[in-house]
Amino acid sequence: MRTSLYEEHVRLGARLVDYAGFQMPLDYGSSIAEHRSVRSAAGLFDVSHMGILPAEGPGAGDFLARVLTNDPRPLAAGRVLYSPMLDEDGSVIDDLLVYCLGPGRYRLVVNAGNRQADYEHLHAHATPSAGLAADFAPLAILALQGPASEAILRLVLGGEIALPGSYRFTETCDSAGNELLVSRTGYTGEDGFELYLPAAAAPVLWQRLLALGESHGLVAAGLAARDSLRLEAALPLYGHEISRERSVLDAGLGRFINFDREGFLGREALLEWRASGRVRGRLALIATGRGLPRADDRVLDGEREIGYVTSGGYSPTLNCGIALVSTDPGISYEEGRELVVQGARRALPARVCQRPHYRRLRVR
Amino acid sequence: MSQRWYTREHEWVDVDGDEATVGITDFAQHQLGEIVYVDLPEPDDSFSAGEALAAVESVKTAADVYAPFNLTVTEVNGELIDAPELLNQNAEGVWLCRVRIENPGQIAGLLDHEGYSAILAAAES
Repeated sequence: MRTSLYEEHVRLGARLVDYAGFQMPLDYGSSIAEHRSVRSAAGLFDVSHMGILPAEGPGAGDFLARVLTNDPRPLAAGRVLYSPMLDEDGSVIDDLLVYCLGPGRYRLVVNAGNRQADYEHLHAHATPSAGLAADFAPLAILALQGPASEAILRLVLGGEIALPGSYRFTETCDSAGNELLVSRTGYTGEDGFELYLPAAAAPVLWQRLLALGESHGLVAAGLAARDSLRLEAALPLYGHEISRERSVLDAGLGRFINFDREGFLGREALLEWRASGRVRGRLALIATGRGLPRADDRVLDGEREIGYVTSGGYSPTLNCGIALVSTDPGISYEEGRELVVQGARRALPARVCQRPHYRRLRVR
Repeated sequence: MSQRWYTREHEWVDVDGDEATVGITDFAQHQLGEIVYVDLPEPDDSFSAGEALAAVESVKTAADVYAPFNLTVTEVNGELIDAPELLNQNAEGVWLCRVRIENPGQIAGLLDHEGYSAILAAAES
């Protein structure tokens, strides 16, 4: 499949890859340069491969409160909520964002790779009054990320627009009069926005953003930069930190679960898991040798295996290899502890460091 | 005057008498994507044909560079330690190591430009 921005990617010389059935840009020449642009100025990503599923009906709130660990019913209109979604056995089906557009009006934004599984799970549990849509919404999503994002967005939408705060959104129109939802969310560890609009209108907004943003250092950025940015910011990725096989507690997402609240799917299984003492730990590593940790590499403390890499790669900010690690229950280390990442090819020395590897400075 | 040969594993080899220079092809660097580390052997290290002589690690993956014939390393391109991106910029003009050929008979197993181009054409179709 192709997003409505496919022609734009081709025109910009993107290296295209198949990602969850979509032809997506891996990079536009250099993912490292794109990553650094997002940290220092701004980057523009096409994330239209994500699925948008509306639930609009008098029973939508109760339905979502049952299928999500994080209860969206207290949300005011204009608020965004992150939540894991569990099966009855406690396994993680997906992690997603819930947008509250008003009383009984919600929109779910789910991972591209889980569109089908999410759709089936949600429809299996939906009540008629939940108003769960029969199809994913035909919208495009542009992610404008980086410290210059706000200035660039004001150039494009007009300086007087009231922009939302973090994890909030506002509904407006683009310069051509198309409905535009501006959400202050992202997946890079930077300030930024995700822009939802009709798929057919996306190429014009994409071009306008790049043209007007150029003087602020804006560049198009691909999936490889998106992955290295979220890795530095220690944001979990489904299929890596989160998966069907591992508990949501292993991924450190316990803060998105209110165990006192009864009636959400997977609660009993999670309570059992929590009591079992099998919950795994997490730590962050920085490679001290030349090489990159890779997902599934084993992590050793001397001779003893203590965990495995959930995500690893090159950090353009730190100029070295970094990793997120899932540790066996009961393992914990101080920063500075020397460990070894055992890859398929060689052993790589690494040091326990602060998680996340990168945290942006907040001026206000 | 040296002659350039290629391997099926996407190395190039400039053979000049009993000496040779080894690098990776443009196709290899393109497949790898942005290269961030190059691991080189030490001078005087010896390798048999097909053994991993060096390793190249990119943002995306890691790959071995194989000895095209039995050889002994005479010199390595240390510039690549701090500037691995040179391989992305000009793979077929940037060498990894210079070697002494220990078994010249094995050169016959390498590909000429035409043979290598045919392999690339087959890979891309």
